[in-house]
Amino acid sequence: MTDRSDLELVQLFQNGDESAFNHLVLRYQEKVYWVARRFMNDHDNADDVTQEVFTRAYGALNEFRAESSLYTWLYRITVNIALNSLRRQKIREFFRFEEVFDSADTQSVAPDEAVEKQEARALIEEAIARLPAKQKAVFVLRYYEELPYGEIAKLLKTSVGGLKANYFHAVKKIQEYVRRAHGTH
Amino acid sequence: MSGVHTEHIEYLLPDYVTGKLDEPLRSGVESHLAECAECRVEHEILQDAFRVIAESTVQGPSRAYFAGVLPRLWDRLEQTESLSLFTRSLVTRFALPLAAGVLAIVVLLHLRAPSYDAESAHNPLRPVLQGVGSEELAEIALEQMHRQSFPNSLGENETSALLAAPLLTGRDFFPDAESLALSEDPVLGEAVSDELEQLSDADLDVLVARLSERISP
Repeated sequence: MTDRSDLELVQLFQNGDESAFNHLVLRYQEKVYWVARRFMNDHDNADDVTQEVFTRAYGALNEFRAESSLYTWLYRITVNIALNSLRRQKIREFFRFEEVFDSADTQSVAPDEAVEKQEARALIEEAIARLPAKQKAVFVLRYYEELPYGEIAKLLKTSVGGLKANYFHAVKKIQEYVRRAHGTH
Repeated sequence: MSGVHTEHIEYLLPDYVTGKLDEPLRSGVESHLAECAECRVEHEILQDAFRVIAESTVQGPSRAYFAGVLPRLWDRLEQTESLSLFTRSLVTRFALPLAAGVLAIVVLLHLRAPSYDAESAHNPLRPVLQGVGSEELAEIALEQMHRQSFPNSLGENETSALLAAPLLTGRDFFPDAESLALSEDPVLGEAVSDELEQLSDADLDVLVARLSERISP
């Protein structure tokens, strides 16, 4: 069944063959995960989004009418769920007391170069996480997903105008965040 | 690129730096950079930013993680399905029969022709309900329900319970989407089931009173 097209698998599923859904999940789970991971700050949140995406897809696949490719359809679901999840996260953070955690144990055993890379990675993730929702979405979709602006506009239900500015400001803010972090260390 | 504002060029720079800018815009940006010092600075900053971003590639999860996505998904789907069945069951077992029970009372009003005095004019149900025990009331509701096409067969006790539960608590089942979502909470679902199991004859008497109040104009 692995050599079947997306549409064939969808039709099989719509005719009651649930195993076709398994093949679709196996085919797209990594792509969905990575889109989610770019939006979310960590693996656990990305995993939650991935599970939610396929849960929704399972419930809605009978309504899929192939007006777009299956991946585009899954992509839209992923972006919507990720953005909603970020909104909820923001609300939760608003009510949460400051969390203090110490990562010194893991850092102390790693070699210097690895520590530097880990720190740089964490810093970039932190910088991306702090971007306003729209800038973050545009950055993820343009830089990591390499989508054309027209497609980004459709996904975010906005016009193309302004997306380039959003992208520019997002990169500038990331750069500024990293610069300040290095300046203070 | 002459005539194009610098701020517009700026917005093209991220795509230029990452090689995603097509011709003729790419050449246009190049010639603009040759003559605009301000944009050259911006270009360098962005080059540096993208270099740092590219170097900090996020490490992905192991293959074992992806091997586990599908089994966990099916667990989740099964859990969702059982909750959904529970919700549907509540609607078919309680909400619809409740409506049928109320219908039964309304039908009763038409079947009997009570002699109205001052008091019964105030509460037209009173003469109907006078002398009607809770069991009899439940039987009437049950009889009405048999005329409806319900997917589940219901026992007499269940009928009493489903009539009583929302009325005793002064609420209807699922008045809106939010409460429907709440009903998916397994803890709340369990509480409702417990509530139904604990109904007594006294509860049913309260039901009669509540029912009477509700149907009164």
